Amino acid sequence: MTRALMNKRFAFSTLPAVALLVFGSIPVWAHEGALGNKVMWQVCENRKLNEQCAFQNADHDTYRGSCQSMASHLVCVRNQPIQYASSGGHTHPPSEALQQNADEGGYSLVFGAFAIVAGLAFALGSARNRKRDVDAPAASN
Amino acid sequence: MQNDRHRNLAIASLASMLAFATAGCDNALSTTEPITGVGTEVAVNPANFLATGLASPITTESCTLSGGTVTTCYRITTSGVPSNHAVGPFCPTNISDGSVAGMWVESGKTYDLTGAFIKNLATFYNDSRWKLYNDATGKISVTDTKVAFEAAAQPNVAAAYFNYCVEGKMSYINGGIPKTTIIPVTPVALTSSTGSIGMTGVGVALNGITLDPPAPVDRIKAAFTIAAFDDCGGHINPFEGYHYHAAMGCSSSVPSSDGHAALIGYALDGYGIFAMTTSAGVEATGLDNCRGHSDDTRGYHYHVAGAGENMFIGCFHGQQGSSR
Repeated sequence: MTRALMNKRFAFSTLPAVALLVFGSIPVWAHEGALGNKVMWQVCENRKLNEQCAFQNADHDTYRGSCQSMASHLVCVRNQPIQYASSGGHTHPPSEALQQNADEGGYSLVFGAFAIVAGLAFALGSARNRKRDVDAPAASN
Repeated sequence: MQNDRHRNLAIASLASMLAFATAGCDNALSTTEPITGVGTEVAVNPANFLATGLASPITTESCTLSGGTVTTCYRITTSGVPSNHAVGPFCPTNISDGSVAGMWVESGKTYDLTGAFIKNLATFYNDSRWKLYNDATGKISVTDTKVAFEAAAQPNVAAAYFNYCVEGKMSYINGGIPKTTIIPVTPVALTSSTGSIGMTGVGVALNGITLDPPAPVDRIKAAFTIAAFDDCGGHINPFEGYHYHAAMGCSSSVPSSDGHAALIGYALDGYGIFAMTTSAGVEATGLDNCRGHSDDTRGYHYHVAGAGENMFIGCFHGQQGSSR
């Protein structure tokens, strides 16, 4: 028996098993791509596993929890009681709420960048001061 | 020799794949009596399941959990049909239809599926491409045949089925798709991390219906479709059958005598899944990232998320069995 023929037989013998594993056990429709609603995975896009997250619904009720992995995507899973907005609050379409969360993400980025720059400036300033202290002549008693 | 090696490799591959898929399979005795828990872990009580939701009696068998622990598991084979409530309705039929059909979820909140809701979708989603109804008659496009249902209830929806309210009938799936869930008799906690939710069910409700991971709502919306849930938080798809995405109080439940929330199901790791709130409407506090915590009566257990959150638990505290 030639090697090519053996390889072909091997391929045909394992193909059904591979097909079973890949296609047979995975439901296709309800579980493709990121699971959950957009606002719930969007808030975790720039966060890590177990990092805290929060989002709001159209009524401004707040959901706080942590980012958890679901089908390889991070989704915000609430683990604190829902903080309901005060009664009489206005409602608006969820798309607006999504934008609000995106904006909050944007603010976080800006704040994070500001914090890094401020931290670097502080560290640089401290280093200069230390150098100045070292360079300065010791005070004589 | 080379041929034998290839054949053995193929057999080994197939065997390991099947072992992975079934997570342990030597059938043993049928059981109705609960098995006592070990240490602080509270064992699954098979008597909590509605007998009418089972396709066959619950049995025990040897199994290998996701973390490699070899232990005893329950094999729970369910009929896929909720025996304690009706399936549907899902979609309203006309925008003038004022009665509530099913429900939809968005950003943590549930919405009643009425004719007015369907009419308002373009405003609701701030996208004029949403239009599920006929201007002249007000009739809503609903998948009212098996062909239409199967065409719309899949990832690559044909353009002809854009802007549909998608609903299935149990008759499209031969009356129901039986499911088998393997869960450890006594949960085994993961030691170094939690287990992430995958594509398959996260557990099983006491009425035998699968508790599924969150529905991929934004993929569904990409075709301007609404995969309507009924008022029990379930819907049908051609592959999974009828399954829940939200806890709406329709599953059979076991009330707690101490005022704690009621037990409504078990997760794949064998820990109990309880309602979100007590009968007084109070939410549990001190939940971990998986939405679980411990007490002296129930050991470690989960509390489901709100119906609008389109999920039950956040991750697994223990080593999981399997669901298929």
